[in-house]
Amino acid sequence: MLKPENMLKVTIVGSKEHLEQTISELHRLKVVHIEDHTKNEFADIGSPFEKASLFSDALLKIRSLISIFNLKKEDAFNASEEKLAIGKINSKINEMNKKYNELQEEIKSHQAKIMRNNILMAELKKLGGIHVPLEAFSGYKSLVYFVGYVRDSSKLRDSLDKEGGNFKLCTSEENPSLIALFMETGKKEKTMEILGKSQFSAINISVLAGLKGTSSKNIERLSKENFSASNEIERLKKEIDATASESKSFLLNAEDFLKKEVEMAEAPLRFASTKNAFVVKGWVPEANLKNAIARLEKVSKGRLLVQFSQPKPKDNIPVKLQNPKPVQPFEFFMDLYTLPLYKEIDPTSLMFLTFPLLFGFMLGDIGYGITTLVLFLLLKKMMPKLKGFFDIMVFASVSTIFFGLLFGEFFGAEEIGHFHLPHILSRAHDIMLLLYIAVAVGIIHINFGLIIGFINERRSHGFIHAFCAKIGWVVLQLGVGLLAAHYKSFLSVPAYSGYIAIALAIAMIIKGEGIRGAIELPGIFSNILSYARLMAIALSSVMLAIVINESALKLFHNGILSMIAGILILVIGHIINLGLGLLGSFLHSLRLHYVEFFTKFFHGGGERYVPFGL
Amino acid sequence: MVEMSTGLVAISAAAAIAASAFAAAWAEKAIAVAAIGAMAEKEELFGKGLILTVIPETIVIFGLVVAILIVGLAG
Repeated sequence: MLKPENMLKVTIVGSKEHLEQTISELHRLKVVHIEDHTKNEFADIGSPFEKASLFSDALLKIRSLISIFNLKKEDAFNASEEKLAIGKINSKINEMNKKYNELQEEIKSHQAKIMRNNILMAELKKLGGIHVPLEAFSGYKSLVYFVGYVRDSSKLRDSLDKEGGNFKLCTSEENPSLIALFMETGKKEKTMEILGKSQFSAINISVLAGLKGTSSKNIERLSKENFSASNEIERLKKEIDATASESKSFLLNAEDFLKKEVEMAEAPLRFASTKNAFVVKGWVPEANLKNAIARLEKVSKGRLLVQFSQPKPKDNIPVKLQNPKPVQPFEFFMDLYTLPLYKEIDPTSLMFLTFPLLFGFMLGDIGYGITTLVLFLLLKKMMPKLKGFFDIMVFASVSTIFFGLLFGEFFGAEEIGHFHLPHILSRAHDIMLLLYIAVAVGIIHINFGLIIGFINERRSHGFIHAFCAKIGWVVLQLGVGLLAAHYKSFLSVPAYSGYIAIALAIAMIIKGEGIRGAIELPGIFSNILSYARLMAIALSSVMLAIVINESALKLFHNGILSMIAGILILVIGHIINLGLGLLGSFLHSLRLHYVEFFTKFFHGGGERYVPFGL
Repeated sequence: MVEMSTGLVAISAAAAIAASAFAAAWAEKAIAVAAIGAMAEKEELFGKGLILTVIPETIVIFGLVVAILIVGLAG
């Protein structure tokens, strides 16, 4: 609590022949956070094992298959301990890739066939009304034919009649402007002239070459073909799905296995390395120390030099937060923001105390509290992945119920039936008092932050600096408070005491934080006033609830229909208000912590502790 | 009939809120756009982005305080 886990620096030195077994032991240990080595004049970085490229090649192929098959790791997925061999994996992947490609090719050829048939069918449908067998549209010696649209087919027939000669003009039943005209070859020129006058536009029927019989017969045949082709596609897709689910556990396991192997094979890149030796630098939590030493000694049979030392001030020490179980969900807020530095106070447990309080103050309603409590308990069961977040919301809901009892509110109503809920403070009526309380909460919270800041600064920069930089702000507030007391005559204090305190505070802040601190002087008051949002959000939430209740109640005495409308208003209104209240209270409580509270003491930027092998 | 002066007090209180809310929204808009852009590049910036985005929100809280003071002082 308040402090990340103690870390010790570890240095492992050995000769290269022990490199591989050291790496695999470190990977199994899962406690050493490796510090990457950067090339310097003493030692280069190591080179990866030869198998690294082989493994990463296979990993790439496996990942592509996993994404093609759209496989997801479920929570229940357990990596099997079964030993996988790279040769076996490779041959299996190649086999699967080949099968998948074959199936895909088949699907594509069926799809192309369907597309071709659709084009044909569209053309055939156009000719459907003209009762001419399709084989008539082929090459002749003594005949020419024209197929297309004209403006008026009866006029065309008249002009052709006038011209004389052997011809056959067929018009479509469905669309009289579509014609097929057969004419003896000798009259071709003349006919074209006549057609030109009738504004003839030809359609391309070359795709139909080779077809026989009527168009309707052909259409029937093509649809049958399409039907069986799409059935075939369905079957092939199912086959792919079946392959996917069949090979799911193999692929996921193999990915897991290869990921680890690649990590180990590439690990030497993170070590310092000379011609014959390697050096691993890293960090181990103090609690895991003994076990780690024992295991490394055992595996190397005393051939490794393992040294542990306390961290030095300039070291970049990885941070592993250490909090009691109920507080742990609140580490989520630190992940969202930034981890504390190793030497800093870890504010997670402070947020555990104050976040639900501020949240409850804003939402504060027995009814809303019970609703959200039930809701988040249910959601916690349904979505175990987000358990941490819902745990936070459960704490916040309990606090909401607590404040609801203080404010005597149940879904915005201060009385149920004729029973008046007892309250300490009525938010709807004592608005000014609510404002004062909000600002008072701000003063307490911010000064609390300043005191923690003092402790942090004392650790890193010494007492004098910490005192000036942090306590200066407290003195500044005191000075302004004294002045206010004098001019508003709450207390009989001389005005100069206030001025002296302010002058002293400014001197301290400039000494502690430099000119930048002096520029920020008014900031502390805007920070404190910012807590007025506690009142603002509380008020908006309760006022909306009251408006909803009143407009619904008015409808309750005018017959059944208006009563239903009233109930609808109640339900929908409170759901909306609760949604707004949850969002507002959550974000603003978070913001008060991040912006107003944390800026008083928190630097952050700690590197996360990620042990090798995890 | 409400007195003229009461109406003026109400209007000035409303103006304090409206103007400050508009200012806060305007300021937040610009910051949020940049913050979302940054988050698209690097998701860990969510916390920092949220903080920067909500900083101007204090403006509207000041507006609210001023509005309450106007109503309070006018009695």
